[in-house]
Amino acid sequence: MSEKAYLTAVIEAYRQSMAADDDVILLGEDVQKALLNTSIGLADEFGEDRVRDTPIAEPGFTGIGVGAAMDGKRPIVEYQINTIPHLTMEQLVNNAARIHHMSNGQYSVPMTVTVPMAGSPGGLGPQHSEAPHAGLMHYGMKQVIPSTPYDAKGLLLSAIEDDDPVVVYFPVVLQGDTGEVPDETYTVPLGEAAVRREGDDVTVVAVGETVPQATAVAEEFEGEANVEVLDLRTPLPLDEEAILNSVKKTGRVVVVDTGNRMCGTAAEVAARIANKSLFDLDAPVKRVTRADAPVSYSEPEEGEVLPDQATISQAVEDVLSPTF
Amino acid sequence: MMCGSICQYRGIMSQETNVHDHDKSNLREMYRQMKLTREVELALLDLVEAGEIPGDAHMCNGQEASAVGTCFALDDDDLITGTHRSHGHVLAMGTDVNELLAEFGGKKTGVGGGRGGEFHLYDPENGVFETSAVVGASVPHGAGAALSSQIDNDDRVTVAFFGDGASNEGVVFETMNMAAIWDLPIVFLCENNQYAVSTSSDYSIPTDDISDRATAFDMPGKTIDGQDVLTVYDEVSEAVAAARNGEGPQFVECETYRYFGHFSAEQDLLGDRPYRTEEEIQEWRENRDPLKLFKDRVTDAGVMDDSEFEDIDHAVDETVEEAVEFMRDSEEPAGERALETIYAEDNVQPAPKYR
Repeated sequence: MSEKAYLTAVIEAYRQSMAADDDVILLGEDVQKALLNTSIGLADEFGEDRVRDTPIAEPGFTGIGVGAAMDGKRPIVEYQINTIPHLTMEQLVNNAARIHHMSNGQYSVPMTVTVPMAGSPGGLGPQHSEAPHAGLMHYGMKQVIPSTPYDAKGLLLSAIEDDDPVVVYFPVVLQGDTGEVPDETYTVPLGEAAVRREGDDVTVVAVGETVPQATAVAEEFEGEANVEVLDLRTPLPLDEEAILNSVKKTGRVVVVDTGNRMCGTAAEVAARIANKSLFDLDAPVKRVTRADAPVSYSEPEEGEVLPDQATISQAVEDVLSPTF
Repeated sequence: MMCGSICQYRGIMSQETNVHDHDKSNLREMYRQMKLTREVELALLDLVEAGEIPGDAHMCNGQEASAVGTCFALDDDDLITGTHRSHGHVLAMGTDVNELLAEFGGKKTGVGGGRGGEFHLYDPENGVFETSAVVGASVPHGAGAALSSQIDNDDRVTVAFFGDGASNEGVVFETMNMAAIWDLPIVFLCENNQYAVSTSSDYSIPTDDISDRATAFDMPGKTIDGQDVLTVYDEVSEAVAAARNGEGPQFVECETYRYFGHFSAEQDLLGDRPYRTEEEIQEWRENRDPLKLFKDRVTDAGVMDDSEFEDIDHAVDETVEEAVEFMRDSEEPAGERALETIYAEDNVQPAPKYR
C-alpha cells in the first residue's frame, strides 16, 4: 500500500489488466505516446499490436472494439475528449449495449471505454466540457465515475473484467488527487455506492468530482448538522438500496451530479426516492446539477453553470429549513 | 452476356469455361442454396402479407449468387457480417432453415430466440458473426474480428457484406482505412444492387465502380458479375486467399439487383412514385437472373440436366414448407422474458415498465 495519484492508479490498472490477460488490448488516439498519460510505457511493454494507435475515426475504432470484444478480446477503447460519446452513440448504444440482447446471449461485448478527460476541466468551452453519462445510462449502458485514486484502480479493473460494455470516466479535476492505492490487483464491484462520511441529518448523494465538494460541505456543517455523503461510484448499476437506506436514516436529501439537470442522473435518483421513500422525507428532495446550459469558455459563465461547493452548501441549508 | 442499355455490364465477365472446374456435388449445392434462398424469401413475403409474423421482409431475391458464391469460398472457421438483407448470406453459411423461419416468426426456437427477427441474426456456430439492421454498422465489427485474428495469428478470414448504400457511410470508410493501415484479414464484399431504397448508386456514387474507392486505401479492388455464382466463387476465393495469405484487406464489388422493394411495405409508402421502371426489373429478371443463368450454363455444359434441377426444386419446396410449419408450431416466448439476457453480468436489475 502506498500513497499514489489518481492518474497513477489508472496507469496501474491499465498495465496490470494487460499483464494479467493477453486478451486485453488498448485502442485509441495517441495511446502509444500516452498523450493523456494513462498508457505510459504500455506500447513498449506489450507491443504495438496490443497497444494500437488509431486514426481520428472514433465511430470506426469503437466499432472495431465492439467486434474484437464479440470475438473474445477485452478491448479498452480510450476517448480523448468527453464529447466523443456524442459521435459514437450509434456504436455504443445501438450496438455495444444491444448485441448481448439481440443475439439472445450468444455474444457478449466485454469492452471498456475510458474517458480520461472527463468533466469540465476549465476553459475548454462548449464542445469539450460535457458529462455524457446520463445519456448513456438512459439507454442501459454501464457508467462508472471513480472519485478516489483507490476507486479509480479498483473500478477500472472491475469494468475491464465485466462481460458487458462499460464507460469509465476519470474527471480531470481529480487526476492530481492522491490517496492510498494498493500495489497489487484488486477490484471494487460495480453497483455498490460508498458512504464517504456518515451522518444522520442530511444525505448528500454525489458522484465523481462532486464527491470531494460534498465532503467539504459536510465538514462545513460540522457541529450544526451531521451530513452523510454517499458516493454513487457507478450511476449504472445504480445502488438504489444504499440511497434509500440513507434517506430512511436522514429524511433530508440533496442529489448532486456533474451532468445536466434535464433527465439526468440526479433526476433518476430523486424519482426513486419520491417513489419509494416519500414518507421518510422531512423536506423536498433538492438537486444540484449542471445548469441546463452549455459550458462557456468565459470563467464566470462556466462557474455559473457547473455544480460547486457553495451551491451544495445552500441546498443542505435549504433541506434543513425547508419552505414548502 | 450483354443485355441492353439498362443493365450494361462493366465488371469482370463470367468465364464460359469454368463450369467443368467444379465438382458436380458443389454445383448442385450452389444451386440448392440459391433456390432455397429464393423460396425462403417468397415464403417470408407470404407470411408478412398474411399478417402471420410481427415484422417486414427485406428480401434478397435477385442477389442469390453473390451470397452463395461468396460463402462457398470460405473455410469452416471463417466469419461473415451481414446487413438488413442477409437471409441468403446466413443460409449459405449453414444457418438452419427452421430456426431462420422461426426467427422471422419471433418464436423461441428462432436462431436468436425471436429477439432479433429477420434482420438481426447471430449464429456463431455457423460463422454468422452478425447481421445488422443499421446500414454499415456491422462492417467495423467484422474488422474487429479480423483484428482479433491478426493478434492471435490465426488463419481466419472475415467477409463483411454491405451494400451500395452502406458504401457511403462514414464508418465504412473509417473501417476500410484502418483495415488497410493494419493489413487486416478481411474482405469487403459490396453487393451493389443499384438502389439504396429509392436512391440509385449512379446518383449517390461519383466513381464508375464502387470498387474504385478501394484504390484510395491502397487496397486491391474489383467489380465482378454478381449474378454469376461461379464468377463470384472464383473471384472471392482469390480475394479470400490473398487476405488469408497476409496480403491485407481486399475489396470485391458484386454487381447485382434486387427484384423486390427495399422492404415489403415499400409499395404502400411510395404509392405512385416509382424509382425504377418495370422494364428494368423485367430485364434483370429475364436476362440476368442468377438461377436461370446457372441452369443454362450447367445444362449447356452437359453437367446436369433439367430433371436433376427439378429434383432439387421439389426438395427445396418441401424444406421450406416444413420450415414454415416448424415456425407455426413453435411457441412465442413469454413477455416476461423481455427483462432477461440484457446484460451478460447480473449486477444490473433492469426496471420493468411500472413499479
